Amino acid sequence: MSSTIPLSHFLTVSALLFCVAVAGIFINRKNVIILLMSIELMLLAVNTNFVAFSRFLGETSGQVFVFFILTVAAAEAAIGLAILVVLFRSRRTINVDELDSLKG
Amino acid sequence: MMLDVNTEPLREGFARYLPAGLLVAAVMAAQMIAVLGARHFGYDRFAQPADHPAGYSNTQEIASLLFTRYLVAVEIAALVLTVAAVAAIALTLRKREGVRSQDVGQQVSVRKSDRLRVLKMPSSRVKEES
Repeated sequence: MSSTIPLSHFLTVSALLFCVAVAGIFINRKNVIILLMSIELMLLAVNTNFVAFSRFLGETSGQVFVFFILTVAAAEAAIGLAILVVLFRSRRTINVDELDSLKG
Repeated sequence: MMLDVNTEPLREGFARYLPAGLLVAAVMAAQMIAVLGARHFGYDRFAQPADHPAGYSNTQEIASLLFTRYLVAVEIAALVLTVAAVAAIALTLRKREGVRSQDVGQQVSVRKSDRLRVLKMPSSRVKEES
């Protein structure tokens, strides 16, 4: 059961995932939900890096750290969605362009 | 659905931002792959890790770490999750006016005297004779 994938391939997959998230943020300027999803995708890319380095450096702490990142990501998603629901109730929109109350 | 959103205006501008987004993503991916490629992170820099012995359980190892060395961190993470759940519920909770919902506690604790009233009244025949 010997893995033959070098570390650089794991890192490349993670970098591609991160770039997909960046492209999602750039392309989507309207929907807040998709922005939140893209940020989650960035966190997952970082998690992939953690697991890959943990395996190749022989240190299990990296995998434990992934759990903490996931915890924070879950909390962030919950709060973000709750804020979004409250925002939608008061403004009737989640369009980023229309949420410009603080615009100078 | 909690967000009753018209998705059409949310999708406009997709074609306008597509080239810029793809360009940025492609440049970023190229840079990252150049840095993270086999030259710096290949087998010659990071050797193939040794195979685990038979009967090795990754789950068991992570669990033993979680509940010994990182116990305090796990507890704090649990606290963070609890606070997040409470905050999410508190943010989205709303009191709705004019909704007739049933209060089970009130229903159970009702007594006979609350609902039933025995009246003493003279019979009607007596009234007719008078």
